[in-house]
Amino acid sequence: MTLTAPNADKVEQDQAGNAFQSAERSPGLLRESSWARWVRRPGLRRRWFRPNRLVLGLAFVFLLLMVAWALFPSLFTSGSPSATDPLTTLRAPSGTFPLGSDQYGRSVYTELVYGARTALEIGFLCTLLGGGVGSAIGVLSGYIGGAIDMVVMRCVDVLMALPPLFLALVFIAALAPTVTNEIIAVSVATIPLFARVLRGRALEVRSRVFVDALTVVGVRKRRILWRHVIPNCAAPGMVLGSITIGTAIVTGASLNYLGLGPTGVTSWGTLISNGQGYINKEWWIAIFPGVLITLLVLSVNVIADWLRDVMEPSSR
Amino acid sequence: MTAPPSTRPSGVPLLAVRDLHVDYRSGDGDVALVNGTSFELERGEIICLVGESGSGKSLTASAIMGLAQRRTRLRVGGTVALEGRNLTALDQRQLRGLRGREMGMIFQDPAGALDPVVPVGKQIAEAVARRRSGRAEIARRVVELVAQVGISDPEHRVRQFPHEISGGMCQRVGIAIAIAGDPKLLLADEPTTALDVTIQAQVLELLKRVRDERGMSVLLITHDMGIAAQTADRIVVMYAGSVVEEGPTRDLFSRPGHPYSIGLIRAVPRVDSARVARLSAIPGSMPEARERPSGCAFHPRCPFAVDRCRVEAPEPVAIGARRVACHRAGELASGLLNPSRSPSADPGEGQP
Amino acid sequence: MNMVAEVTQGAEGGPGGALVELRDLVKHYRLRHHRRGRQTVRTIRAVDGVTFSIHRQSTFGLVGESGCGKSTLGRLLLRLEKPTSGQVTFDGGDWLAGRGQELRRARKDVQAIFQDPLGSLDPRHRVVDVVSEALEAHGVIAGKRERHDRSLELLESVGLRAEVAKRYPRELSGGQRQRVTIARAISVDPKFLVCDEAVSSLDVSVQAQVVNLLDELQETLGISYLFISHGLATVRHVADEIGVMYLGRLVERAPADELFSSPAHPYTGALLAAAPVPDPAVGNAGPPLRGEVPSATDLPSGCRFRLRCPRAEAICAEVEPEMVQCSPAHEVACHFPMSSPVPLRRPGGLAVDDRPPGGAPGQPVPEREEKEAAR
Repeated sequence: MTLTAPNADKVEQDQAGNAFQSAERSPGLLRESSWARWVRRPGLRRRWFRPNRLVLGLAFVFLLLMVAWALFPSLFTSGSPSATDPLTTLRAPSGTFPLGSDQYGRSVYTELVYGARTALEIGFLCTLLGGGVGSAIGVLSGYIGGAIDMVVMRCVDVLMALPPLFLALVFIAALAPTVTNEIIAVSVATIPLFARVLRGRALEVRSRVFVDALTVVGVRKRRILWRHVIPNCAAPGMVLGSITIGTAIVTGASLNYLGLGPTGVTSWGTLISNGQGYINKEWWIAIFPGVLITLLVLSVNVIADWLRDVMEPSSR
Repeated sequence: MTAPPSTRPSGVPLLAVRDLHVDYRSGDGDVALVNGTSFELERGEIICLVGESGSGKSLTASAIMGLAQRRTRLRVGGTVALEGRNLTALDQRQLRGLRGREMGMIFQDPAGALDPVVPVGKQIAEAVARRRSGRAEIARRVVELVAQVGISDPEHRVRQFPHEISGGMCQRVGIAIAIAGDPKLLLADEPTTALDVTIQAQVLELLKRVRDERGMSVLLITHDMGIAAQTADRIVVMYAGSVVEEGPTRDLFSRPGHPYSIGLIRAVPRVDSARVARLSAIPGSMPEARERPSGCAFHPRCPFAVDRCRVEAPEPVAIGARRVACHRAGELASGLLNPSRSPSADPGEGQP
Repeated sequence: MNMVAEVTQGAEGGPGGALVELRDLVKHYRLRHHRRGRQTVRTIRAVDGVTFSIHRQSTFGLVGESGCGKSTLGRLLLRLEKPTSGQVTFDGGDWLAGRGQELRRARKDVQAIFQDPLGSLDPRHRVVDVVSEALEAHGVIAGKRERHDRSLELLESVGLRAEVAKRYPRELSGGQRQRVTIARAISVDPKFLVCDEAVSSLDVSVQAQVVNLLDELQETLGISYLFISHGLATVRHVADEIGVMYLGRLVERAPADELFSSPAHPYTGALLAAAPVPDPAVGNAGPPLRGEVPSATDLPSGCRFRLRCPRAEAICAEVEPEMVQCSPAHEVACHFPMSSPVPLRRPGGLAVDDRPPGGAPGQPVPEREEKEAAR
C-alpha cells in the first residue's frame, strides 16, 4: 500500500479493478507480481531525479556550447589539434595550456574543442539511426506478434549476446575505416537494445484496454499503430535514446582507441585512451575528456527528461 | 464534544484518534489529505471507516499504524492514543515494537502483502517467532493459527507459496499473520475488495469470529455500505478527509443524519429491494484534495446546502447517539427537512 | 427489395425478437507448463458451452465470480478473441463470419464499455478526439469540423460540458472518464453494447449516475445491453433478464424479477445470500458458501458446483445437469433446484408481496415505484 499523490486512494482502487479484470481475461498469466507493478508505477523514474529550472538551464547552456565547439572550433581556440611539439609534452594546466598538454605536446583544450564534433556526430547520428531502426523493428515485432515476433526476437537475442563494442568492431573491420562507416558500425551496435526494449513496450501498450477499445470502435489497425501504439512507445524510446548517446560516444571512442576508427580525426575517446597510461601523474589528459563526456551525457539526459514531460502532458 | 453512547464502558478507550491530520507536502504548498479526524474504538468493538475513494480513510489507517509517518512527503499531526499512549509521538523503532503485538494489519491485496518466494507457513512462523521462541512451540502455534483462520488441509497448505493458493486463502494467511502476536487492535484496510462475494462473506465471518474469540477490536476500512451494515458495531463516515458522521450502525442506517450518509445509503444497489426506474445518485463527484471547496466540503453536492455551508465548515454536533458534522443536522433530525423528498428536487442546485 | 427488408425487420424487430443469439459457445485456452524439463498442456475451460439470447432493446445481465468466464464471453462477442467452437448470430446474420475490413465495418453495431475507464482511453488523446476518432473510423460524418462539433454534442448528451472536451483522460474523475467511453460507444450508433463491469471501478454515488445514464440511453436510442458484473446487486436495477455463470457454464437464466424472487440454482441463492445488504436490520441469510471456486483446468466430475453445494447428492458427482425449464422463461442447470423459494432475507426482506402484482418480466416498472424514484 503505497501513497504516491493526493489521489492515491483512487489509484489504488483502479489497480484493484485492473487486477480483477486482467485475471479474468488471460487465465494463463493470472497475477502480476506486486514489485512489477511498483516498478511500472508512474513517476518512479521521475522522482529519482527531477531537474529543476537551474539544472535544466545549465544543461542547455552546456549543450549549446558543445554544439558551438563542434560547428566553429576555430572561434574557441587558436591552436591546431594535430600540431605536435616534442618540447611541450605532458605540461600541467597553465596559462599556455589551460587544460595541460598530452604526451605529444598538443593542447588538451584544443583537442577537446575539435573533438566535440566527432562526439556529437557519433552520439546523435548513431542514436538516431540505430535507435530509429531498432525501434521500428521492436515496435513492429511487438505489435504484429506471433511467428514474426519469435524469429525477429531470436535474431535480436543473438546480437544481444555480443557486446555492442564487439558488434561495432566486426562491422568496421569488414568495412573501410571512414567516418561514415564508423557511424554505421556504432549504429548497428545500438539496434538490439532498442529493439528489445521497444518491443517490450509495444507488447505492453498493445495489451492495454484502450487498444481493445479502439479495435471494438472499428479503428483501422494501421491507425492504431501510428496514432496510439507508437506515440505511447515514444517515452521509453527517448529515455533509451538519451542514454544511448553516451554509450555511442564511448563506443566510437573505443573504436578509435583500438585503431579501427578513421585516422586523423580528433576525438575525446582517443584522448582518453592516450591518457590512460598517464592517469597517475598526468591526470588531465584522460580526466578532462572524461568529464566532458559525463557532462554531455548528463545534459542530454536532463533535456530528454524535460522534453518527455513537455511532450507527454498526460503523464503528470 | 464527544457524546459517549450509553452502551460504552467507562474508562480509557482502546484507541482514541483526536484531530488527526495528514498533509501532503508538495512543491506548491501543503495539501490536507486527512483534515481533523476524531473517533474512538472500544475494546472488542468493530468500527467501520466508510468512505469513497479520496475520503482519506486508508490514510487514516496507515497513520494509526505509523506507516504514513515513514513517507517523507507526508506529515502527520494530532494524536492517536492506543490505551492512552500517543503513537504519533513514537519513533519508528518504538512503533515497530508495537506493530504485531499491539496492532495487526490486514491489507487489501492479499497476495501482494505476502512474500512471493517464502512458503506461507514460514511467513506465519516469522510472525509467531516475534513473541515466542522454541521451534516446537512456534510450530504448534502456527498449526493452531492455521486451524483458527479456517485453512483446510493445513499440513499441505503451509508448504505452498502465495501464488499457489487462491486470493481467499492468501487473505486467511494474512489474517493469521496479523493475529499471530495477539494484538489488541486489528486494522483491516479493504480486506475483501479483491475477493469474490462468496469468499468475502467467509472472510468477514472470520473477522467477526476472531473478534468474538479473542476480544480484539477491529477497525475495518471499506467503501461498501453493505459490508459496514453487516459487520460494524459503529460506523464512521468520511468525506473529503473529514468525518461527517459517526454513530452506532443501527442508528446510522435507520436515520442517517448527514446528507452525504443519506445519499450514500440510497445510492447502494441492493439485492433485496424492488427494481426502481432510476437509482438515486449524488450529483458530481468527490473533490480532489487540492480543490476542496470552502466551508463544508460536501456543499456543492448537497441538496440542502444554504449560504452558511459555503463559508463555514460545520463542527460535529450530537444527534442522539450520533455525531453529525452538518449545519442543518438539527433540522434534518427533527424532520423539518425531508430527506426522502429533496435529493432530486432541484438537480441544478447540486451542481457546482 | 425495400419491402422485403421491411418485412423481415418487422418480424424480428418486435420487442421479443432476439438480437444476439449464442449457441453452444466454447472458449478453451491451452496452457503450457514447463516443470522439471517436461512440458504439460492443460486446458482452461473459460467458456464451456453457453447458449442464450439477448432481446432487442433489453438488457441481459451476466453475473458470476472471477474466473467464471463472463468477461471472456464478452470478449468473444466483441470478437476480440476467437471462440473455440459455437455460433453467434447477430441481427439475423452469422456474427463470427466476417474478416478484415468487413469485420471492422460490422463492429459499428457492437460497441463496448470496459471496467477501467482510464485504461480504455489513450492517455495521449484529448477527450474530444477520442469521440471524433470513432466517428472518423466509420465515416459517419465527413469533415473534421463537423466531427468535432458532433463530438461535443455527444459529450454533452452524456453530461459532459464543453470545457471537459479539451482535457486529457487523466484530468477527469472516474465517472467523467466512463462518460467519455460511453460517448465514444454511442457515437457510431450501435445496436448492441457490451458493458463489462462498467461501473465496478467507480464510487458508489457515481455508479448510480452512470447506471442511470445507461438506462436513459437505452430508452432514447433503443440499444440492447449485455451487462457483465460480479455482483447481483448491480444488475438488479439494470437487467431485464439475468444469466448466472459458474466455471464456464450458464447455470441459471431467468427474468430479473423472477431470479431475485425465486432463485432456482443453489449457487444463485448463495450469491444472493452473500451480497451484504446495506441495512443492519436485515441479517445475512445463513452461513456463507463454503469452499472456493475450483480451478478451471481440473473441474470436478458431474456438476461443477457440487463441491460447494449444500444440496449435492450422489448423482451430482456423476451426471452434469442439463439446462431445463422450471417456469416459462426460467431455466436452470441443477438436479435439485430450489423449487419452493425460501424467503431470502428475514425481516423486511424480499417477500413475494413486495413485488408488483403481475409484474411480468420485461414490463415497465409499475407507476408507484417510478414516482417514488422520481422524488
